[in-house]
Amino acid sequence: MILILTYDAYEQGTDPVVDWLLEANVPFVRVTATDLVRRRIRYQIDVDRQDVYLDGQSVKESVRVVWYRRFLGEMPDVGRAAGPHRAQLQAEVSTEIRHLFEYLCFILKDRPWLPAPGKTQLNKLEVLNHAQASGLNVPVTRVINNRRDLEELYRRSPNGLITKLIADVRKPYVQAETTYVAVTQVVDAERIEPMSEYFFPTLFQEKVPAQYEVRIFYLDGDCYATAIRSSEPEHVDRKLNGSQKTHYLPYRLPDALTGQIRELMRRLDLNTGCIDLMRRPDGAYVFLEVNPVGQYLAESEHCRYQLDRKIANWLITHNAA
Amino acid sequence: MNALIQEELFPEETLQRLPLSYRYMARLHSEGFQENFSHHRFSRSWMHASNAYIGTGTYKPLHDIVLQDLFAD
Amino acid sequence: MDKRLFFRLYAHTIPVRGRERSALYDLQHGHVLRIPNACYDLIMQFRTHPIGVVERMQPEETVGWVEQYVRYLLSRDAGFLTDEPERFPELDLTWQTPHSLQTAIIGYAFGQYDLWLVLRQLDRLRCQHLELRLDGGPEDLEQLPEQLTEFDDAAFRTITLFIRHQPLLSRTRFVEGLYEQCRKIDRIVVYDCPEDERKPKTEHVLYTGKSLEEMRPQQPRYIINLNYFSECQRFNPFYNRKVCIDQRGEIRNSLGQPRSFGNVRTCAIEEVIGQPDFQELWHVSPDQIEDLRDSELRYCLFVADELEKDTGSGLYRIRQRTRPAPAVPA
Repeated sequence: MILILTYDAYEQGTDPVVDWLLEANVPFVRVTATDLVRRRIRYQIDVDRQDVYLDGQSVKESVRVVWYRRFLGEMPDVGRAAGPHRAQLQAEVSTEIRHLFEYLCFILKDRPWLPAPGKTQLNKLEVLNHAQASGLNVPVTRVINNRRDLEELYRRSPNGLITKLIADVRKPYVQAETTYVAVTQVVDAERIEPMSEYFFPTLFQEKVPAQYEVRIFYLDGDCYATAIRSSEPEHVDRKLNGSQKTHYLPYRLPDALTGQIRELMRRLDLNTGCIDLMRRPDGAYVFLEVNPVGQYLAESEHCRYQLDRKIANWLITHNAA
Repeated sequence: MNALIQEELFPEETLQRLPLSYRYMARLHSEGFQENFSHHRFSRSWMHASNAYIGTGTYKPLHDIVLQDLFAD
Repeated sequence: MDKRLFFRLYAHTIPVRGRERSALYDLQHGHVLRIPNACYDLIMQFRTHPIGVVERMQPEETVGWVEQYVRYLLSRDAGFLTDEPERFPELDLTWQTPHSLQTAIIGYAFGQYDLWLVLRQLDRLRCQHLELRLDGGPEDLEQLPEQLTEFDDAAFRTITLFIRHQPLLSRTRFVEGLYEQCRKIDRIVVYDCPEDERKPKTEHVLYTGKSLEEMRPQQPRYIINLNYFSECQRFNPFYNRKVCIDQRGEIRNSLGQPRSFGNVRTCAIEEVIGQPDFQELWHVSPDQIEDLRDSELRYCLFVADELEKDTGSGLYRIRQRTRPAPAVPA
């Protein structure tokens, strides 16, 4: 049986794979953090025997492979009634669930996982070092807390700078009709000028001049690459519709780059993930980041990679092994 | 219409204590923010064990009546 | 222009040759550009040769056309120049689906058969999209909300309702309440509705005076996207993975198709749709339809007409022809 660890809210990458599992008539069970806390289904975890019982039946042996799909991304809410202690309670309850989840991972550690447990929260800075060690180009990267060093870095960066968060924080701030998101931002003289002498340690990177972006979905040694190009304004008729179009194109990676990507994923102990690179005008590729549980559906549909089917096939193969 | 407007969500006192990214957050209409899916409709599917089963239409007309044309402005 | 470079169409911009003309389908942005067959032939040469070599391959009187066509295709954002054409492969147009049944179209007049038993069968078959065409009195329609919500956790992604007008529908919040209550309902169309009973159109509910027949497209209709195009390569997108059940319970390929493959009162839907002769029309691609196979627009023209087989040629004909195609909309 395939165990799918996901969350209750809509997660676009899960159901397309489940459709293929249903078509193949392969049993699966889907578990969310909310299920652990709120669902009216009888279970217990026997720590002495390292086993899990559902309705009195042991399920540990029947779980043959695990697909981790953002389980820890959503925690059950303790509710407003908690009042002024809500934030603290929420943090503690989330920790409680996280520890329970880690123990389930421990019990199932001998099963094939996609991706491996504990590998989904990567440190971006360490990843850049692993990328360098794998032979990949990376942008000049600094974490700086003061204006003097920032100005010096800016002077030495002919293509400019960008800033983004060190941690992989992607949750938006929603206020009714409006959503706020912390995204990668350009840092220029106008933005540096009003900054104070010292500030919160912030990640800055050289801005990579891009001919186009390359996004790779990696699955157990195979790379499915998409080039994301914009229309070329010097050629396109301005009367066409005035807007620059984005083109998603299947892309064949150079063999050397494929080897470097495989090496990086081996170092990170990841068998799947979404990798972002920039292709510079001089032909070099620059690694930006990897997301072990990134979204794959858009590129898969644009490029006809059928990644939902490939993920399902991977799960089915490992379930049968 | 979605617009990637940059705006400060937090007051200056708070921004002084945060990384620079929070000073220049992107402001979008919630409806248009892809990860919100707030303009989609969801049901359930017992077969998929899903409580957020998205109700997206298909890429072609279902039969001999093209709904998009009927509902177009 | 550096003629050592290759001109490469974007992978999602696919050339299709017709007898009289050709077309470039931009399947990512949803439009078609008609081009001369001579341009199509050049595009085929661009696949394997840089611009300068393609020029040298032309008769002297047409050498100038090569650069002209390249500039034209660039100006239409159909492709780009590159010195690494091998990096940009073509799309795999294989069409695959995990669903043995995508669509069910059901005519129901509340009496001839048990609709709810049919829906349970379709749920087990993981049918994705349901279109119900209902014709009943107020006492029949009043049962709908309760009965439909029993399918709230079925495998259907969407349910579309066409309901023949009854005063109940326009004089109360019945329709709006139905939409709110049943989360799988995508759209509701109340048809044959007198003018003074029509409520304003919303995003999901429409009151119209038209009949079902009048709501069919009156002009040729084009569907330009990657899924439709790839399905057309080997399948008929109108018939493929579809089952239709009319008001008498007869199981057909289309509500308008004369042949019945059985009745739901006596046959299991799964058995019927698994039969090779039921699936015959699923595989009649546009290339096998005499009226379409020579048209450059054959992979985007939406044909909802009946097909009949020419046993001599093995090809099919459209029984009621659609009108000749006008200019393709932008």
